[in-house]
Amino acid sequence: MAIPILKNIENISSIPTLPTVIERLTRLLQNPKTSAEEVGKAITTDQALASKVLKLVNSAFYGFPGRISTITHAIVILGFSTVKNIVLTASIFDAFRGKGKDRIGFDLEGFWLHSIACGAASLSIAKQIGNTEKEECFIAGLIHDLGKLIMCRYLPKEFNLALKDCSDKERLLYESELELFSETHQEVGGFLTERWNLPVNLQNAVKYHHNPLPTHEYYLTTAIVHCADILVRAMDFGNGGDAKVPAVSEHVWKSLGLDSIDIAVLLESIQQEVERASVFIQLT
Amino acid sequence: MKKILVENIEDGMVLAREVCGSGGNVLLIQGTKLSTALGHRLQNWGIPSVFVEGEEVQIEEENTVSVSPEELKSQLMKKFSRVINKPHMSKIFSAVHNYRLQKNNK
Repeated sequence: MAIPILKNIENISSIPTLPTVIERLTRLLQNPKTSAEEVGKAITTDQALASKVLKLVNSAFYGFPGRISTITHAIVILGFSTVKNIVLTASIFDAFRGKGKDRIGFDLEGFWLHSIACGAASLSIAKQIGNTEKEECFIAGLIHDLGKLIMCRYLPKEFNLALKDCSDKERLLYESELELFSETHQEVGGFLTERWNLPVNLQNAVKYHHNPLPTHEYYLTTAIVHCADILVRAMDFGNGGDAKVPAVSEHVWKSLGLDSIDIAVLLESIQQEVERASVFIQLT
Repeated sequence: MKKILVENIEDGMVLAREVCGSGGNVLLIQGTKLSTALGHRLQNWGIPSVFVEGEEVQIEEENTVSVSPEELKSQLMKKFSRVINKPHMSKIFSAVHNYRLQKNNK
């Protein structure tokens, strides 16, 4: 019988939460009359978060190294939605801080590198195919495997079973989860993104990155993450818990128009983007 | 200044030269204090060796670091073993293979 997963996760009261500032920001940004000062004030009520946001804003990743000294200035230069995305990213890292090997031997450092690389690769693919939601794609790639982190932290015994199984049978962790558990890291991550009230495009990328379907809402974001995950595994960036590359879905390949894209050029741009994203490693 | 393999990085060593990724971006600046954890991280990033402050003892052979083309191919084939016959996967395989060979030769 399959080991119950989500039922157990739902009962855990210490599941990480996102800071309330995220909700406040979402509300502020819905109002067209909101000023940069108001948003800046909302962010700076959380000083630790504000300093992380400034660190990210001033990194090569956002292209203004060392020139932005206040949140308000960042908003003026980068815009509301970019700053909101930066706050969200910093908050996600905050919710899951912790380095090194976990007690069951899950390589967290490798996990974060895989996640950051997947975000960077998603951003790269979005750029290549002219998708305008690059920043969302970065976050979607960054959080696509959050379910693994939740399982590793709250159901270590069960998660370890799946880790061992996929290594013994030389298959994907996802395949082991499908066989052993009632739910996989996709549903567990999906549960978290719902609880966090993240936008539906991010929720769906987490829920369906292994099996994207064109009928899903915001299919393109999920398709991009699906493809990014495969490429960064092949390129050997980090480690998501298994040593295999999944097959690319036929309709993802078609929808993203990958036949007309030079994969070598794409790989080079992914390499560049991953290096620019190295600032995020310092947040873990 | 001496050149050492990243797996030989010890806590407290100081970078004598900046570390760049193969794309040319600076990953760590000169003067960064190193640790074994950071060494592990650099390994993850595919950096084979770094320059640290201190007397040059001996130059470590760099070719012990880079993987042979045969080994690289077999590692990659193992990753792709169950999907190589699926649509488009051989195209991805050869693109990644070429990319990693080039990176290896740098």
